Amino acid sequence: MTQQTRIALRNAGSIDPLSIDDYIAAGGFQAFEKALKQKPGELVSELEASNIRGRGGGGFPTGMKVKFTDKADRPADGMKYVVCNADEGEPGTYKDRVIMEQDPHLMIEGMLLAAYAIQAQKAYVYIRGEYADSIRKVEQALKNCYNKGYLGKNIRSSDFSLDIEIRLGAGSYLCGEELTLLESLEGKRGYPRIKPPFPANVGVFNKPTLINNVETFALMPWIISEGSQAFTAMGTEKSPGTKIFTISGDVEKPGYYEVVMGTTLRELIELAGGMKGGSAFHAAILGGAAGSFVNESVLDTPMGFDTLKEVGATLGSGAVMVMDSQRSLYDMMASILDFFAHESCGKCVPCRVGTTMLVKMWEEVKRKKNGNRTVMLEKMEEEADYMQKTSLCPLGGSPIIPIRSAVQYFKNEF
Amino acid sequence: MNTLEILRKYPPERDQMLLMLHEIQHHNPGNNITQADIRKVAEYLNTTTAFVYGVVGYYSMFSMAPRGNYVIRFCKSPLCRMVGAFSLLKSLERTLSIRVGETTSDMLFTLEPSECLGHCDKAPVMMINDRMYFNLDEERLEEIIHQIREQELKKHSS
Repeated sequence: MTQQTRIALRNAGSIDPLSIDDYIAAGGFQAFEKALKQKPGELVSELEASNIRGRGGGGFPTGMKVKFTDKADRPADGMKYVVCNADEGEPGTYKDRVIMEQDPHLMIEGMLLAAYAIQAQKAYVYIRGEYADSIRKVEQALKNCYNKGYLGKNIRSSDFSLDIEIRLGAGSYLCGEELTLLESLEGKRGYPRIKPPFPANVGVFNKPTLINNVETFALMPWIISEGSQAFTAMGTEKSPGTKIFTISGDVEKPGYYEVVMGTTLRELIELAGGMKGGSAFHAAILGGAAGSFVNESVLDTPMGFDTLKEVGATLGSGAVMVMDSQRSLYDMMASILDFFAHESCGKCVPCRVGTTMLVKMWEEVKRKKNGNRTVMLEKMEEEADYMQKTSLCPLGGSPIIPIRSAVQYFKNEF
Repeated sequence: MNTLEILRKYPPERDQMLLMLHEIQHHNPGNNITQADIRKVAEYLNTTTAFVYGVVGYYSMFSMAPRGNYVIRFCKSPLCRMVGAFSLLKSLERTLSIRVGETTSDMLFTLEPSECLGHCDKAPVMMINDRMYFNLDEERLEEIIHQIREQELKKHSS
């Protein structure tokens, strides 16, 4: 039976999330104390050697981000920034919320390590506005860190200083995309930016910025204290370490589970108590709305960024929505397409028009029970493909993922 | 606290705007941001009212229209929908005698749709102001609304 391997969730549920003393007693800040005795460059190398990939969904190598931001020319005012993307909004995903609600100091320690590595003086946590409990707990944890001398000037009597401030989102899914988040953080409408330039060179306030997801930061203290080799020893070759999966839908014990990368969907469902009431597995959506439909043929595929990509699926944020044979794939796709139509910001025409067109086209697929559904499905794929190629940000590129995978795995059902 | 007092708590920098707008909205009796607020924010941040208006209009948590004391955010994202969010939303509309997007005539409730609220393991869910409500069914929904109405009655009669 598969067991959890808890790194990002190591203290979740076992300490008082608002007590920094509890956090320290559980080994908190040891990684940071160790880091302070090293040169910043050693941290950059260690994070790069860990091969950790961004846990927000993109899976971009975090070490490379750290290295690029480190190498970026320091502007005249000397400022480089660290930003924590806590704008969790991918449907089916709630891992960052769990970290912030149950162990906010861990996320802060991760940010401290990243800031020390690139010698940033200022950092922001951008939390989605609806996460009231997360906001309250991160606020308190930041206060605790200032009081104990883990934030502010000359931290732990070193030359290193860091301030962290909270910024809040206000109900825009798109702001979870890193460049859009930076726009929003600057107090603007959440419109995507053109990239390149990447945040490592031109980030918040046009300064070099290292932006990572909450879970990514929460893994950093362990990597620094245990070493990159311990991290790469877990998981798959190209996706090392652990991943928090949030599983919901037709399983007995929906919730959050941190397991090594490469755990299969079958193992994860077992961990979640099996299918609800012993019902039969029919489909799962991996990675949220911007995720992929899979059938039982994927149950034994190791879940990692590359291994899932090989079978036309996605790991994404680690969201897993499980459906038994009673559930309607039509309705599920309809709600996913509605979601994109609602969240498209309207900046790029192909996405603004396309997301609404897809909703209508899907209604057609549903209506034409025995007619030219195949033609319509092909049209949808074509449309979503255009959108992906012509939109600035990943939202326009998202609908193709559920559509293509649904066609691949469930063509006969539509 | 009035809008100017709130604004003065923040440095006059544009990246503070969303924080300011959240707090202003929270303190306004109508749970909204008024034209006058927008002008004050623009002045304080030395920017145009059009710019502030654009920001308020973009983010779904901000409202210019006055809202009820209790803003209900009902999750209609894929997982909640799979387990019956739409039929629950219909019954909530009946209980409140309003449609999604509207406010009850006594200015007590505003019903808004919401995207994923991040509690899919306890779906269907909704938020009322800052509080989450889990594992909803018709009975529980009615009970929650009833309790809030009772509380408000007591507040006003005492």
